[in-house]
Amino acid sequence: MHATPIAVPPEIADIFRFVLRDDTLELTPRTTPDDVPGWDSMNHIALVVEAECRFGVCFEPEEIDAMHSVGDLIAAVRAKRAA
Amino acid sequence: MSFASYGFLFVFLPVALAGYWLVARWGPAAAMGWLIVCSLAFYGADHVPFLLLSIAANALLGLWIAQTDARPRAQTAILSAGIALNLIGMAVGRSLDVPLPGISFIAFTQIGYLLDQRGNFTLPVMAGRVLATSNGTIQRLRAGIGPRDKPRDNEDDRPSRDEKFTPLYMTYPLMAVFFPHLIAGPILRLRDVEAQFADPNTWRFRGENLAAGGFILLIGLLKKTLLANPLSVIVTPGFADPGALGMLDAWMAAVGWSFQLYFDFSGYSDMAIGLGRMFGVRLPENFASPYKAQSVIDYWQRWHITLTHFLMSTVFNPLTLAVMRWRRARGKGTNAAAQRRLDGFCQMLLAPLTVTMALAGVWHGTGWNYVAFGLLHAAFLGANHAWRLFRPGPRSGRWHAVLGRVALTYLCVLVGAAVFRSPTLNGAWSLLAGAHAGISTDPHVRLHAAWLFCLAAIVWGMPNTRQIVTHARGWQPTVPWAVAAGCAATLGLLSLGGTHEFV
Repeated sequence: MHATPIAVPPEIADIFRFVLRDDTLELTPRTTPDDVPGWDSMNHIALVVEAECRFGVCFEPEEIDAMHSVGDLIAAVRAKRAA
Repeated sequence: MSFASYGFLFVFLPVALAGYWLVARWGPAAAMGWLIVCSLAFYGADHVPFLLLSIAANALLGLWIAQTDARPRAQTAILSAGIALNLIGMAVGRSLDVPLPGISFIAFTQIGYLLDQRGNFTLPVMAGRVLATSNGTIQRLRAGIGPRDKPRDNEDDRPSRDEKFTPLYMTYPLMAVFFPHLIAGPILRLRDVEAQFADPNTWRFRGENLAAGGFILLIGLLKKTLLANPLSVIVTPGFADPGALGMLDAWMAAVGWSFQLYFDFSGYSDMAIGLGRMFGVRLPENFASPYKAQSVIDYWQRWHITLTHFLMSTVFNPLTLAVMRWRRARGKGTNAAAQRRLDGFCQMLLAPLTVTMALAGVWHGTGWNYVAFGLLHAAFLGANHAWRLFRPGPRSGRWHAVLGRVALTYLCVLVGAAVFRSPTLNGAWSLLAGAHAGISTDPHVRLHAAWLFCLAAIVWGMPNTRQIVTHARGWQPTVPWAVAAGCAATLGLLSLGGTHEFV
């Protein structure tokens, strides 16, 4: 498991606001699907696909399953870009 | 062998537990080996060759898949072949003269195992796991895996010479045959059990596990024998000739069937979880008061939870991922706004949902009624998702709104259950529309109605097994609970010989 980041980068926050169509969304790395209306299993995949397009990375289904918070997505993107 | 039988409860289980108590002193290897032997004995000599062949073939396929991480196409081909072989095995197992009990669960456990081999188990790690049986170094390979009461976070805390370590090469064979979960679930994935199987503390016989597991087993037994089995009196005649029933009789048969299915299936799951706990293994929850669900989406998160998780992670999510990537490659949107458009809704949600639920239907059996059941639930889920997409916002918490949502969800589930049970769609329609002979033709209609009201009070008014066992003021190993459990056990055992039907 990756270390939890301390802040949400603006580009990640923008992905969430764009996919969930909510410009007022406030996020922390500890934010989970339970905290955000509309972050269901389908939008979870939409968030990952949006991140793939914006950062030029690709995730396996198992990696997507393992993302349980905003921090997990940030850490997974960073790990992919560093690889 | 059924869990709810005298042979299992009075011969097999005591022998298995006594043997476990004896051999567990020699360490995890002996305990796991004993459970493998017991599990094979549970299935009986007729089915052991099939099980051993399945385990050997999947173990080899799993190793092969693990070795091809660097060649994704080859890995996908091997994985696909492995899944196909298991599905063929499932079909063969169902068609045997004596059908292999729990064949669907066995096949899905094996498929889950193969899927879990991708990227997880490289050959060096597998080799390391085998070597670990002698020196225990593997426990350090995975963070968080180690004796619960003796965490080893530094090098000074080395394992003592006398300490026994779990032989991890036995994890897969034991998971594949462990008798409590293979008859009616829960469906196990390797990740559900590998941490606890790797922990030597799991393989110590403990009185507290025996007491808690025995109590859960007892609840399951009561659900099966006292609540589910007697309902055959209402259900079996109703579904045998639905056209001859009055409206009230027909709906009582349908409601009775929905209760029978729930008490039977969740009772069996409770028994599985209780049995696992008696041997120190914590199996995942499979039911969470599904008829209290306030939407069909919510229902599937409470009913046969491990199957829902399995199908979501192996079918729905990968399909949705593929569709979304395909749309993005063509410049189409995938966000919430795109999901609200007809093409986006059909492509990203309805299509993956239909495939997933059709497979869920076929998993239950090979008749068209099962396919229809799956497609019907796909339609319910599609409507539910559409409502959430097009009418977003918080749900009312007023009691009549909650009651309405629960009632509507149960009505959908009831229709689905009637289709599931009826050999033909006409039969299901006849039952649900049943108005051929007035209100009722059954002389015992009042008694049956009162009985169903009592069961409804249990379904909607009582906590579920997990809530009873984990609640602070719930079950405790105390004298009053022991007396209550003893009385309940007597009732359950007395009703073992009653009306019996495998749901």
